[in-house]
This record gives sequence, C-alpha cells and structure tokens, in this order.
Amino acid sequence: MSCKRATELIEKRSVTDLSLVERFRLKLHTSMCHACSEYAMQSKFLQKAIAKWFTEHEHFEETKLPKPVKKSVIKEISGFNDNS
Amino acid sequence: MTKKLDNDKHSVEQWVDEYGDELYSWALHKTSSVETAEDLVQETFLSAFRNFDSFREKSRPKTWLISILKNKIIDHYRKAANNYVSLDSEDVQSGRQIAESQFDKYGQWTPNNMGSYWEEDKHLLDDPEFLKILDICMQDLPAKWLIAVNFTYFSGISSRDICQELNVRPSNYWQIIHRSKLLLKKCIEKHWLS
Repeated sequence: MSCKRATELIEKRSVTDLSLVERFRLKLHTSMCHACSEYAMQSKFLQKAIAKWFTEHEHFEETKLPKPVKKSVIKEISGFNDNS
Repeated sequence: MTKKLDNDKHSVEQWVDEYGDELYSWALHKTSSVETAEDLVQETFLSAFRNFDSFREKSRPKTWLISILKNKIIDHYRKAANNYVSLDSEDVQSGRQIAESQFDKYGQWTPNNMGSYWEEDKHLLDDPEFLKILDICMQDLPAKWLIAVNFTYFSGISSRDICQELNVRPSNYWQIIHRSKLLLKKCIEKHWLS
C-alpha cells in the first residue's frame, strides 16, 4: 500500500469506520512507515486545531463593525412598531 | 407603542454597540467576506430583536447572540455549498495539486514532505503566533473544503447529512478532508518551521 493510500485511510478513519481489511493493511503500513505514523499524529493534532479555530474566537484580532452598519441595524430596529 | 417594545429595542440597540464588533470579527473569520459578515451580523441582531421573548435573562446576551450567529453561519455555508456543487473551481484545482504534490507517482511521500514533524504539543494551540498561522492556513483552504472541514464541528450533523449538504459521495468527503489536512500540514510547515 502506498503512503498516499495509507494517509487517505487515516482520514477515512476519522470520519467513518474502516473495513477489517483496511484496518489491517493500515496497521501493517504504519508499523513500518515512520512518515505515515507521524502523519497520523499530525492529523489528530490538526483535528484539534480545526476544532479550536471553529469554536473559539478569543484569539482573533478584533475587527470593528463599520459604523454605518451599526447605524442601519439600530435604525431598522427602532423602526419596528407593534403593527409590523 | 408599548413600554415593553421600547425596552426590547433599547436592550438590542445596546447590544449592537456592546457586541457588534465581536460578532462581526467572528463572522468575518468564518466567512472571509466583509459583505457576508455584515449581512450575517445584521440578521443576527434583527432576529435577536424579533425573538427577544425567547431570550432568558439568566443566559448571557453574548452567548445567546453568538448562538444565533452560528446558526446564520451554518445556513450561509449550506447555501454556499450548493453553489459549489458541480464545477471544480480554480481554488479546488490548485488545492488538489498542492495536496497531490506531496506524493510521487508511486504514492510515496516526496523527500521534503517526510518526517518534518511538529511535536504534538498541547501548548502549541495556546501560542498566539501559532494560532495566527493556523488562521492564515485555514483561510487559504479552497472555500468548499473549508466548509467541509468545519461541518464536522456543527453539533448534531451526521456525516451522511454532511455529504448531502455538500452534495458529495462519502468517499469524496473523506478525500476532501484528506486533501485539506495535507494542505494545512504543508502551509503550517511553511510558516511555522521556517
């Protein structure tokens, strides 16, 4: 099995179940291939990094909401009345 | 006009001032588009106002607003995914090329893509410099792939639903994840290890 295929299976495993044969072949490959077993660790790390990127935002630099947008939201809200 | 309506208006207007920037920064990072981010934030406040009665005083306004915004972003992703359905856009093609280039024609790692291991260090994810690079690399992903990797983190969406939303076969889905990870790996190595 090639490294490309092995790393594909590593990602498949992160999304869904591997077949018995796939599991066996992947295990055999990573037991012999240093680069792919490192990839498996990197992949796990990236998974955590993506989760952090998606769920947290404290570390982003703040961009100000443009004043005209603020004004237009406030205007729209204050324009509401009981009949609308 | 009732007093209650006035009070609701007053609260939401205050929120626009207080939380507008933060919501906007969040939306901008998740969508990479000024226009979209502005729209989503506007919609968030309007929907907060319309549903003011469902806001319970005990929850923090910020938490509530962010949960509304998150739903708006998911809707935006869904719509965007539908627009990307059939064609391979330019960014997808170049992304695929970069991913493929890490292997030779036999599918073995090419020399400079082997063994460049960054330690799985818990603290790396607390390092502001690293997070900055992660941010650059995430935004560098082809739009459809960014949507695909992020779909994983919307709670309550099964991978079957994700495939349906993205209109891809399951095998395509994990191939997209595979290529996205290869791209991220390469990008992080380029910026972080150099």
